[in-house]
Amino acid sequence: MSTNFYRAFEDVLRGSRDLIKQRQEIYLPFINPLKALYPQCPALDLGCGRGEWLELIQSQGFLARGVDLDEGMLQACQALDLPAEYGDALAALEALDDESQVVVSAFHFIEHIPFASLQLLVREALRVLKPAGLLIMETPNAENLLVGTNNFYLDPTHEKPIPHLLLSFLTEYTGFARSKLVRLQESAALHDLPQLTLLDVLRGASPDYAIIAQKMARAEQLAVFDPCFDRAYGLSQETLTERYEQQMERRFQAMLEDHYLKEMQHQDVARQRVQLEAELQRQRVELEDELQQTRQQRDEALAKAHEFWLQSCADNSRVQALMSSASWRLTAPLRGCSRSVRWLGSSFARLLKGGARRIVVAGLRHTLGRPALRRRLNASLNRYPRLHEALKRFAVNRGLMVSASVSRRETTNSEVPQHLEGLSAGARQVYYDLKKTTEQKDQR
Amino acid sequence: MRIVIDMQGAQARLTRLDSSCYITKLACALARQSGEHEVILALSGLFDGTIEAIRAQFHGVLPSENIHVWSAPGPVNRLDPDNEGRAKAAELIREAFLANLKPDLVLLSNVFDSDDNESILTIGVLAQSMRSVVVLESLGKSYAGEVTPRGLYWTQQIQQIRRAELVMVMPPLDPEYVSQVLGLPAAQVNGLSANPATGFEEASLRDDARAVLAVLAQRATQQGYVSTSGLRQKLAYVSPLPPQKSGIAGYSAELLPELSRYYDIDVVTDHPQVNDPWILANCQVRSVEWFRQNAKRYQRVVYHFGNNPMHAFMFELLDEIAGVVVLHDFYLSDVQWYCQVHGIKSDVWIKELYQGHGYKAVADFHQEGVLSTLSKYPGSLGVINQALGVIVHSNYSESLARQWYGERARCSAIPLLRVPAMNLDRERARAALGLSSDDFVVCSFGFMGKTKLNHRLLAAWEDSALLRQDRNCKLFFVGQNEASNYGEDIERHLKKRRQASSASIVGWTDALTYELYLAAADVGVQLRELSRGETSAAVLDCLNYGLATVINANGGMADLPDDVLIKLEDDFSDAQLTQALEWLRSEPAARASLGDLAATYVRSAHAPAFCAQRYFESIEAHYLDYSRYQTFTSAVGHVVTDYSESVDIVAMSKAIALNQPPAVGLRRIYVDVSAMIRVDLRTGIQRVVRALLLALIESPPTGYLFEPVFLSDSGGDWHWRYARNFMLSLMGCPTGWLLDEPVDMQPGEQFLGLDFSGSFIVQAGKRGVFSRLRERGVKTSFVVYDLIPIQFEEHFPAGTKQDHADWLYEISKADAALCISASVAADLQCWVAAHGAPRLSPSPLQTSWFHLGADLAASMPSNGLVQGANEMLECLSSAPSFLSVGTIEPRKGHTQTLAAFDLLWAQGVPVNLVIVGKQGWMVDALCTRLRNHPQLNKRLFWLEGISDEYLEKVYAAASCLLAASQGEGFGLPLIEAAQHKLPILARALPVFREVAGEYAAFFEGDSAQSLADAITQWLQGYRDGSTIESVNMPWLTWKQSAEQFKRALLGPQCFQPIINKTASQCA
Repeated sequence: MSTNFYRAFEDVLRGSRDLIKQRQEIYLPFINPLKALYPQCPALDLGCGRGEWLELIQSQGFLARGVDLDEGMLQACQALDLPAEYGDALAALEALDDESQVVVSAFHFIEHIPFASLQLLVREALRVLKPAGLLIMETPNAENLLVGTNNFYLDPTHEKPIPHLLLSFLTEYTGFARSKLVRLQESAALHDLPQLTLLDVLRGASPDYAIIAQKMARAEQLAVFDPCFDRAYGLSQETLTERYEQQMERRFQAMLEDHYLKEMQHQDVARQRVQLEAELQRQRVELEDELQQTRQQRDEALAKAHEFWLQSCADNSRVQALMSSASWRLTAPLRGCSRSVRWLGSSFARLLKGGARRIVVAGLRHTLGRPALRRRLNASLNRYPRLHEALKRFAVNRGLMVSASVSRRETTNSEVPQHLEGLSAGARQVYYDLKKTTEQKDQR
Repeated sequence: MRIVIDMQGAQARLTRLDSSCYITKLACALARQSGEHEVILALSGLFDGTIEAIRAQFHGVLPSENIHVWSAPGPVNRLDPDNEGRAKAAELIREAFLANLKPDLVLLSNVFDSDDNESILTIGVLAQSMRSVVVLESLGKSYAGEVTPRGLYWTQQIQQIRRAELVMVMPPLDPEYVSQVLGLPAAQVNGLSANPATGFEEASLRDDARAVLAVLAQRATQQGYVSTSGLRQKLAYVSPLPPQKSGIAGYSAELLPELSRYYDIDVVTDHPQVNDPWILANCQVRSVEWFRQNAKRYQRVVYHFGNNPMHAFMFELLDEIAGVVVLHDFYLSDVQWYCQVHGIKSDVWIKELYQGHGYKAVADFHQEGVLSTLSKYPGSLGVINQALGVIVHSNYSESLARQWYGERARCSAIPLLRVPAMNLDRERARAALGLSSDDFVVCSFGFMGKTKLNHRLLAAWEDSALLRQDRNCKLFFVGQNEASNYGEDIERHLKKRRQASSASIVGWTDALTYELYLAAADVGVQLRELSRGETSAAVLDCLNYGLATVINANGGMADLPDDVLIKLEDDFSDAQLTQALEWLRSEPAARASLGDLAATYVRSAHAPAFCAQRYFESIEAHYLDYSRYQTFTSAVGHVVTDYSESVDIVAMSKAIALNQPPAVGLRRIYVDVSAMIRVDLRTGIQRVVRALLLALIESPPTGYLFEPVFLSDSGGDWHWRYARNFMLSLMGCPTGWLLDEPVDMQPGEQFLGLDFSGSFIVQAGKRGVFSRLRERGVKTSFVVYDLIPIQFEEHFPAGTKQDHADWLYEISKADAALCISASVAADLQCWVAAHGAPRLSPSPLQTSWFHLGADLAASMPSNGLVQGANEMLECLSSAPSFLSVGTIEPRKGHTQTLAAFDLLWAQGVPVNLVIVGKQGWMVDALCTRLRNHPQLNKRLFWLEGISDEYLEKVYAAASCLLAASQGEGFGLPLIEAAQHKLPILARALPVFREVAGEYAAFFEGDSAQSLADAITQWLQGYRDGSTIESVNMPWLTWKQSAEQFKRALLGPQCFQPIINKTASQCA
């Protein structure tokens, strides 16, 4: 492999420097308590690569030292003035004294070496670590289906995936006091996402994991690290799968209920239809009966009309006979006399009445025009209420007086619509003007 | 010339509690230096709480009518996108409001201050051409090029400024820099001299004011008329037409040919047939129904109104379709009564009486009958308000309008047109009529009637020996005789003469014969009395035909020039008329020259072309205003439809209605009756309110009408409603034909809190009802009856003092308080000085007083004596009896009275005590004592709930009225005693001294002994015969009390209007 191939490869596929540094900050709560335990904190980074970890812990106050076999990477480190050396990692580890380091770290290193070397590495790490010192090993997480089947093999220098159970067993078997599994680098959103897709399940679990192993120390020294060790980190494949299962189960249930409801509705509709048909039928029968009855009545009426007509013909002919008879013609002058007498009488009566009426009207007009007289008239008529009423009606009919009841009308809210009740007369006019313009606009 | 200053900048500053503002100081300086120009302030109603402050700042500098407030529905803050619709509507509303003020110059300021408050500052949004000047204090933060709301707003405001005629820039801004930024020529940007750094000193403010006035004086370019496009508008002409028998029909027939030079005219009439050839040939004749549906085709509408049933259909039509009205008769009473009786428009006459002339007219209608109201009240206010503009034919009519409906009534006076007479062939006309050429023919034209003074002409004719005996002198009455007693009298008179009379009645003639008479006559006599604003066409006919005319200076005829006819006085004597006629008979040359002058006058001043042109100008001017209003409403209508979710059309209508200039008509004084309208407790105060209200309505002051209103919270908001049905039932008239609508109070009107509706006032005051009234420019006054609950809190239930104090506190914020006696006024002033509310305006609460009336005679006195009444009355008459009348309350001092009488009875003094009154509150102990008193029904009598008849008898039997009350507002019991001629012994209270003066005896002291001593002294005087009589105590009737009240309310300007008294006598 050419010197710079790997560096270029990493640059493309691993992520930017800043991104890596940010991700590695998750280890800081683990290693920072060590500064309180030991005045000097040397730390060794195996396979330091571009030196992100070195940079990070150096800024935290650790005496960092890195080892890598790749010269291209080392150039990057030296460009940044980081304490990285060329050499074999394991050899460098073996060269260290007992209990000389507080942290030994290997980020994405162990998957590049055969298992025997890994065992050696863990043994040697235990040796060089001070009590309560930490061994951090980060490696891709094969739990993640996509990683385990595909992405792991993107890097041609990877050996084979290392399950986390294997690694943790190894550390404990080798003699570390305890180890912690930290799953990392999953998408933060997946923790809370209510709807997981199948793709999420396949590739959503934490793509990397780290085993942080701690060397035996006094109880109180170890206790400081308890908070970090007790926390939960990351997303396991199991969790994701379970969530997905539950979600599908729920959806399925909902669909079943929906279907059931629709069934019920369908049945209701069918029932209603049956009822409506029955109703229609009944109404049709009724209407037909009515029609029948009406026809009958009409026939009867026609028959009656015919009878009447016959009757009137008969009567007509009798009258004709009567009027052309001799006795009728003889008595004509008698009839003329009585008619004229009657006419005289009635016209006389009419004249009287008309005259009387005119007198009354004139009298009323005269009285009504003078308030004093009117009051007296009212007072004297109070004793004859019927006459009073009759006179009042007479006056109203002739237009001499306005009747009080004419102008009393129940014009309450029937004139003003409900929503305009709060508007004064002027505001109502403006409202109608505005409405007119908006309606005209609509019409156009 | 008028400057309008937009004060929104000052208001915005006030809301930020920053009171020093350049525009306020500049406005003050302008107001002081304005000279004959008018300075008006325009304030926005969107800024709460700033209007009263600004009114207070300008108190004394500008009169209150010069401060106008416009309102619009808010909020309109630009930064919130929801407000966009309302902001657009508010811009239109503000511009329409400013245009209605008819300014010659508008001054704006703080244009950039307004992006985070409720200011609306725009120029030219409604496409008006108002001259605007912008005062620029700063350019604000420049947001040029930004697309944020603030940035867009800044750019928009820059655009507004550029539309101004002139920009005045305040230091330290540099005018050249500003003109560059704005892109305006340097001539349009001037600098001001007032500098904020130096704090706006006097001299610089004066200079700035002078600069503004100089701008005002430069005349802008002339505005054009609405339609100078040369296109002839379509006009709908609504009028009676020949062959309808009306003078207006003939008038229209003559006007139409001339008017059609300016318009394309269609005539609208409800008569099925038109027979005038010109009209049939040149105009389309439309029916009323068709016109109603197709009114949109016409750009102009003209109505001719007269007092004749032919015009009945026009009232409804005018309500639907707006137009210019030509008022031929100022009195439109008969035609509206016709409409009401025949159901064309229900209740129109009585509603017109109410709107135009108030409740007094309605009371007259129901009590004195219809006919009296028809002759007394003109009833043309509805038409004047509904019309876009009113045209009358004489200045007399316009003066009548101003007299009846206030100074805002404005009409254009256009002379009656006359087509110049042709064919003045006198000989032929005389021959046709059977007259000889040397006859002296005198004619009087037109319908006969009492007001035409035909009988006086006849009398003058017969007085003159010359005219009576000379066979050649002939008098003709050319016109139909009236079918009434008067007409019959004249006919009988004429028939009585034994010799062939030289006077005769011709009767109704058709047009041709009429013209013959005009041509044939030598002299025309047209007399009139009791003119009701009618236009006399007959006089003009006489002048037109070159007749020597004799008139009397009544009504419109007084406006005719003196040199073209013989004008007698309005109240002429018969001798004067006779003299004039004889002079004319003897001087033919003078007749001829007078006739020539007359004809020339008519031909020039009443020429049809001239009149038609005046019509055109007048119609166009009125429609200019109307088209402005239409543009405005359609613009607002567009905004409403575009933003229908955020803009409420109902709130918009309310705001626009408040902004419009007030309608023509008398101003109202709104009287609050909120308590009485809900619960009529018939307490003493409510009886007073009722009586005072009725007395005030009977005699309103000139230019005002009293209008009862009440507070209502239906619909959520506290608002005022007319208490119409309540008032009608109070006056005993039928109710139900008017609705109790909400009230829009106009600036310049007044509010009077007459009733004692304490809790309503306090609640309403908390909601800001009264401060809103004062902001709007309505003067608020309250009547204070007494301060007794505060002065004697121990006599009242707990909490009464606090309620009363709350009510007085609210009143102390008002403009004026009227008290029912001078003592109450003094007490009120003390209380207000100590506990009154802080006042924004520098003027204090005006306190004045008036006395109540005392003729509260029961309309239906109750009768009935109880058992044992006669014995009791005998007891009373047997010894001196002291009477105490009134509900038994703690403050009436009955405890002291009873104790004093106990002392006297213990000494064996033969004296009676009668207590008339029901048991009140907090007097249980006293009443128990009374009920168990040993002297009860021997010397002590307690009468509860007795009838009026009984009370009269008790008054007659008693010897003295005892008024021992510890506190009273007025002292009505004393006056009642005086009315019953009873001597009085009263406590020496200031108010009793004020009412009774020297007509009563007084006692002092709170102990029983002091009262007993006073009574003993009085009895001594009684035995000596030296009692102080109360008979001559002066008291007021309610009518007089109302007069005092009006004087107190309105200051020196209230007096009874001199309504055309003579017109009301004609029936």
